[in-house]
Amino acid sequence: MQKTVEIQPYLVESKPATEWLLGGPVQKVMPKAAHSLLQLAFGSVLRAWAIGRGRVGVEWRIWLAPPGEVERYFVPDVAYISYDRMPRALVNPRDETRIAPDVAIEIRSPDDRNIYVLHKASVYLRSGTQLVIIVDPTRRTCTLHDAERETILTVGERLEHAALPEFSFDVAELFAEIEAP
Amino acid sequence: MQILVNTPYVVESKPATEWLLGEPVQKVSPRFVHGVLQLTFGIALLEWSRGRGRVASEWRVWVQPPYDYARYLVPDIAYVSYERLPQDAGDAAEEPHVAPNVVVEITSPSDRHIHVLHKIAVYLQAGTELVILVDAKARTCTLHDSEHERIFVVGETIEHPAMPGFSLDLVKLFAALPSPGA
Repeated sequence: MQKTVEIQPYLVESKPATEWLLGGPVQKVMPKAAHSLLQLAFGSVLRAWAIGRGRVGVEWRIWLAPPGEVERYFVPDVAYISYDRMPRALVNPRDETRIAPDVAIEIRSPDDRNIYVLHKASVYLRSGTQLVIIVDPTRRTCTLHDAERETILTVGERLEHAALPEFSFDVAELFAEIEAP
Repeated sequence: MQILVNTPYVVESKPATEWLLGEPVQKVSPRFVHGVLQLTFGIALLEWSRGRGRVASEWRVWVQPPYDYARYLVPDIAYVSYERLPQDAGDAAEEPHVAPNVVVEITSPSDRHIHVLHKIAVYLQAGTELVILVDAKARTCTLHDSEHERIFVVGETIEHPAMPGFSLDLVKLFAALPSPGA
């Protein structure tokens, strides 16, 4: 059986970045303060943990191909790719990444459409990503999606997962970034 | 661009089989909590639906997201309005090729999350207005539409524009369950 995809994904260079979602290019929401602060906070904690294990990047264009589906690109807010998946080799400025990240982190914006958030989490997991973390600044939650379960963490809990061995991040500490000092 | 995929074929089984992520996957055999929640929600929705459309449980429906192939899912409860499937549709209602307006799934602890996410995404892409996930353990209902996700807890009453005039108090929904911690 054949299925026809109307449009082959094509690159759109834009700022904020564009992702290929549900058959078309969709530009990311312009980050506001909360998004920006949480993205950097999470990214820096993850990067400290990742030393010797792999690479952590922000706004990193990654091509994903779930089984039986067209290859398309996402731009996770923060991505971790282990050295097991991405060799310890020189990274050239023109290189595109065609490896599913071990972990993808998205900071929710109030205007994000739920259908896109669900679609992205689903595509990541089907492409081989072990863990998708959705950080919601409005609810002060981190939702962990892996292939088997969904876990919603709130302030007072710690973010830990088998995909991030020995990593432990206090959810309250993350959201302290956006509390009144 | 063309991509080869397995053609969905119907598997007759009990519990029912659904076509998920390119292959047939049998549903979990329901136990008491699943069964009673399915029935309670189904009755509430059935009563509300009179004159508006059809409600059924374990109803095989064929759904087709844009630029994707048609495949079948078997929602625990589905509501299909008469606008989508006319009252005089006859045999076409037996196994409709139309996305339900509303789908209710009672989640089981053994459900694979990758399947749950996929199902919600497929329903919403195919035109379903609302997908409701009932979590017996957490005593919550999560409502997904294309724009928002909202979690309802005990003490709250479910309402949504996809079901105008319908409301369901979660205390009533979960009333038949053993009290938490008991």
